[in-house]
Order: sequence, then structure tokens, then C-alpha cells
Amino acid sequence: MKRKGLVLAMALLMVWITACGNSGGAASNDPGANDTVTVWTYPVHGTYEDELKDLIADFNKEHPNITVKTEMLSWAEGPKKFDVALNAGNPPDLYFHSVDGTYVNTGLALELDSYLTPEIKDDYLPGTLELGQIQGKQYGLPLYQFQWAWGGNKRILDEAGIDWKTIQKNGWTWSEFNEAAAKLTKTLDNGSKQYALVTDGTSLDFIEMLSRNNGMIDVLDESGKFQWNDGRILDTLSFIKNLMDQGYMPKETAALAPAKRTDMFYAGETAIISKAIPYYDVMIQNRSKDIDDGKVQGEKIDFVLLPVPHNDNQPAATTMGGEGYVAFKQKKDKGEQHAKNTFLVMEALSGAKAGNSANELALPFVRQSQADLFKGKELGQQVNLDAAKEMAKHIAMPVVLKLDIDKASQQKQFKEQVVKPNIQALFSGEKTPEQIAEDFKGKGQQMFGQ
Amino acid sequence: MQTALAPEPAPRHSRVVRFWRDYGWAYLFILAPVLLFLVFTLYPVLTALVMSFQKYNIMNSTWVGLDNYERLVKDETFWKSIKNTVIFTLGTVPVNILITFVLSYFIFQMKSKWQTFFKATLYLPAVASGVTISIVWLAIFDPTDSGLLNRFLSFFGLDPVIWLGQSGTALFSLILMNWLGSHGAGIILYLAAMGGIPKSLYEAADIDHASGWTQFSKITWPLLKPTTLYLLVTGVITSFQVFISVYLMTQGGPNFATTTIAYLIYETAFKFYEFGLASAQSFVLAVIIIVISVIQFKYFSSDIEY
Repeated sequence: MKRKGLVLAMALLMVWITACGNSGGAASNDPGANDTVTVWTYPVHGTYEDELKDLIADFNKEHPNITVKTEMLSWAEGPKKFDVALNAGNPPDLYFHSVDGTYVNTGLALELDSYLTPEIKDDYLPGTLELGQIQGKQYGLPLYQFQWAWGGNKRILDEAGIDWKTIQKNGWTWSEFNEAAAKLTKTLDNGSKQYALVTDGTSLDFIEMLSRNNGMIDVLDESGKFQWNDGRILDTLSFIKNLMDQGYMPKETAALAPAKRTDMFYAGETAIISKAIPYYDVMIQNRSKDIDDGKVQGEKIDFVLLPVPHNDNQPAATTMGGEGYVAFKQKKDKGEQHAKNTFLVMEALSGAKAGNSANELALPFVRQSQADLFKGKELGQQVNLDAAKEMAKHIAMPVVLKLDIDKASQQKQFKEQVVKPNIQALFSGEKTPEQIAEDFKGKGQQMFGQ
Repeated sequence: MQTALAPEPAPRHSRVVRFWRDYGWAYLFILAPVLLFLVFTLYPVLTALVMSFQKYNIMNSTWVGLDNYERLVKDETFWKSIKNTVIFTLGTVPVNILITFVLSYFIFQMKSKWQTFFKATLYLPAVASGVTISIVWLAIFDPTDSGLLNRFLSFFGLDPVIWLGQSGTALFSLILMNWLGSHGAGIILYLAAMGGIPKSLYEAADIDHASGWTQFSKITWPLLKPTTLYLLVTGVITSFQVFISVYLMTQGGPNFATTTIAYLIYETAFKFYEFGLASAQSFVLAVIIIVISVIQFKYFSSDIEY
């Protein structure tokens, strides 16, 4: 082979090795130096992408040296993409999510306490900044408080004589719900069934919301003590079993996906849907407009936000938490100035104008400046906005925010590997509540040592 | 008398130059795929092997020795996933090979243009995205009365079945889906192999008044054994790695009824962030596949001539 060929081969090899090599340079500590902050986010509401552009444009007027690169992820695939990036050591600087102990465990979540000014802290309404903390340390800035509830079809509730206004104001017990469910379940004139309640069989939301309303905020309490090992969880499981046995919920619940559950609600096949969020009010109003415009076919629905019923001898508890931006550093740290710049961008995306997200989603604001800016511009029906405020009085603060990180990780595993399959077995009638409660006890002992 | 002297060995540098002159371009051409193999296959496999002995964390991993493997041995869910995967394999591979063979046999008797038509039609599922196919099957398996399969059952007066929501039917549903869609590549291979059987063998068999069954069992089937072995080995490897249908249709449920080993590896890594344990699971899967493949080659290829 000629010498030229050998040299060409060596050159290709060197180019390859160099391309695969470390090309990172040292980060600059000059506040005025050019920098790029990457943001991965989701379509939080209909016009969020445009709103994001405006927020970044405003930010760049003050900080023209900082380029903000955004990527809009899909709700379905975004979490997986982020997980891969995080575990490869290269997460984005900002990611839209609630704070999570597993993020902190990687060592890449950025602590924000040193960047929070007194003005920012004071702007947050009481109890809201804590929604971005893990074990007292700030890792995220909440953009809004999410709220889980049940949603009702006003027509069906009225036809059955259910006093939903009183339920919105005072809540309802499991006994009261069972009485209402008996009235709401019937066979329609066309032979199809109308159920009192429908939920999807693929997620943990249903059992979590009900157990929360039976004195167990989570599987573990804040000190890490196992809660799902006594009569309360058996009562919760028995309540669910009764709903299935009485036909208040479809027998196909185990195989119902969230989309199917929503379809059934839109088709008037169920009076109540679980779970529902205040934004459904806005969403369904938009659907009604589409029906008027002929874009969608179907019955127009008047949405009623309902609290989750609580056990007769337990207080009501509303599942709420915070979602917003969480800050990260990368395995190849870009330096302190980059972290400061990341926080500046985070604050810009979480400030007063960003409160539009909470407004669009008909959710409680987290900052006073947001509440002031959007006063009088609330979306959603007043009756549901008032119901959301009433439910917020019974907030069950997420236990995972205070829990030891390893215990939080064990709890997550318990929920996915023990609770979820057992709930599916309950829905499909393959296991009794007693068997499931025993399984929870046994597996809880194995996993938590309690 | 002068004895012939042995030629002196060529100087070392000229041997090297001759070597590169003779083989250099060959090595240059294979350099790129070899590098790709080293970087994107061998390196990740070796890294995963090391990870399987660690409690992996992106910033600081801890060496734990055989702890991850010990956890696997005690993990009920792991053994359940192995059992589900074996059931899935036993339920799909032999049946698929039988269906593929029968379809190929009938297609082979047809005229050329009909052969082309059926080959193209039956190959279509192979080019369709697994995601698309899974979504269509979700509609077919819809548990309510509006699901296609339940509508079909209602014509016979049967009650709707919660196909993907019951432990007893969920895995079968995935197996049924596999039976009805995975034959294209096998049909192409079988038809090519059938075309390669010399017609003179059948003519000689006709002269000897051999029956159709005798011709099939003594000529056709033995000469198709290499293709059958290939489909058996690749079918087992593929079915042991079944993931898309589980991920999209059942997420391993209900109650772990459809949790396969590949899905468990995914969950362990990307849901629970236990990359060390997931690496250990994947190596156990690899060993199982290797052992089964070796057994298949040893016992089923003894009388195969190529």
C-alpha cells in the first residue's frame, strides 16, 4: 500500500479520536461574558410556547449576553428523554417538573438557597416556596400549585338530585358518596350504562387520593414510618372494592387508559371522573365552543369541580404540589457564573408575568406579584374557582419533600412494584382487599424494615 | 560441490511493507465498522458489565461486588419476568414458525404474480412501526363493548373480555398479537429455500410412487431445516427481548402478568434509576439467550448440511 494510504488511515483515526475526546473548555466567571442556558419545558398550557418567547425576550433586554435555548418536550416522551440526559450526566440547566429526591440523589440538582434574595422569598405566598424544596433545601421555583380533585357532569348530577354546591363547600364522606353513587348509576334509554365514577386503571392517582382522605398522606410519613399497614388501608381498599361490586365503576377499569376515561366522561357515560384538575373547566369550555363551531361532535358539558370524598372519621385532604423549573448542573461543571445565570433565567421564567400559567390552568398563584397582576382576569367558572380555593384549605403537603432521599426512592419503588399491581388486581377482581392489605404489610416489612 | 544455501530471511521492515502492500486496503476498509463496533458495542457492553458490580450513580458509583446479582436471585419480580418471557417465547416461536411454514408452503404452490402479491402483503407488518401496530391493537383489545374483538365476540353471544386488564388474558393477548403479525421475513426465507430444492428430487420421488406426505417429510422438511433453525434461533432471541408491545399496551401489568425481562430492565434503569441492578439483569438475560442458542445449535443442527 502506498505511504499516502497509510497516512490517510492514521489521519482518519486521529480525527475520530479527537472528535470523541473532551472538548469542554473552562467556564468564564465574568458576569458579562456570553453564556447559554438550556431549558427543557412542556406545553404547560395552550399558549405557553408563545408566552415563553415573550418572557425570554424580556429577559434578554436586561441580559443580552445570555442566550436561552428552549426545547419543548412532549408530555409522553419528555420525562424519559430527561431521565436519560440526567443519568448521562448532561441534563439541561432548567427542567420543568416538580422537585424530586431522585434528582437530588444524582448530585446534579443545583441548590438555589444562595441565589434567593429576600425580595423573591417574600413574594412567594405562605407555604408555596416549600413546594420546591427537598429536606429544606431549595432546588426549584414553583410556577403553580397543581391540584387533584374529581370532576362532575353538572347535568347528570342535577338529574340525580345531587347537591354538588354543598359538596364543593363542605366536602363529602365515603358514605355520602356511596348514596350519591347509587343514584348516579343507571342504565340509559339506549341500553348503555351510566356509571357514577370512572377512573383509569393504569395509574396510582386513585388509591393515593383516597388513602390521603383516610388519614394516610402517603405510604410513609415525614419521618419515614410505614403507614399502609393497618386498618386504614384495608378500609380504603374495601371502599374501592365496593364501588366495583356495586357497579358504580366499570368492570373494565383495570384496562381503562386515561384517554378512554376522558372519552367516557365526554360521552356522558359517567357522572364523575377521577382524577380531574381545575383546568378541565377551561378545557371543557373550549370544547363546548368547538362543538358550537361544528369542529367537534358531542354533548356540551358543564364541568363541576368536586373534592375527593373522605372517610367518615377522617379529615379531608387535597392532593396538591408545586410544578415549576428545577435547576441542574452537569457532570462537567460550567462554573459558578453559569449557575448564577441559570438562576437569573429561572427567575425570569417564574416571575409575575409567568403567573399566566397558573391563571390559564385555573390554579392558585404561588406569588403575590402574580396574584396582583392577574386579579380580575381569572379563567374558569367562579363556582369552580371558589371550589378550588376551598379545597386548597385542606392541602396535604407532599411527604416526599421532607422525606430522606433514600426512603423517598424506596417509597417510589413500593408504589410501582407493590401498590400498582395490587390495585390492578383489585380492579380486575383477582385479589381481595384483605389479601392486598396483607401483601402491603409483608412487602412493607421487607422494603422498609417495618 | 556447493550446497544450496537457504535464502536469507527478508529484512523485517520489508516484511511489514509487503504486508501493508498486500492487505493494507482491506484493513482500511474494515477500520470504520471495527471502530464503530468497538465504540458503540464493545465499550458499552464492557461498561455495563462493570456497572453490574456497582451501585451506580452518575457522580460517584460504589463497588458492591455480587450484591446486584444476589438481589436478582431473591427478587420475585425478576423470576416472574423470566417466567413470563419463557411463556411468551414458548407461545410465539413454535406457533410462528408453523404459521410461517404453512403460509409459505401454500404461497409456493401459487403462480408467480400471486406469490409476489402475498409476499408483499404478508411482509407489510414488518415495515410498519411497532408503535403503530401496538396502538391499533389497543383499539382491537378495547375492554368495552366497542372494542373490535369484543364486538366480534358479541356476534356469538359472548360477554366482553377485559383482554389487557386481567392476568389470565393479558399475556395471551400479546401472544395473539404476535401470531398475527410476524411472518413476513420468515416467509421470504422459506420461499427462497423452497425454491432452492432441486425439482429432480421430487421427480425421483414421483417415479418411486412416494406419497405427498412422504415427499414432504423426506425431502421438503429436511432440506428446509437450515432455514427453520435460523428462524428458531432468531425467533427465540427476538422474543426474549420483547418490549414495545409490553411498554405501550400493558406497562407490564396487570399485576406483573406481562412483565418481561426486557421491560423489567427498562423499569429498573429508567424508573428506579438502579443502573447497576439493571445491568446485572441484562447480563443474566444475555447469558440465558446464549445458553439457549448454543443448545439449539447443538441439538437441532446435528444433521444439517450447508
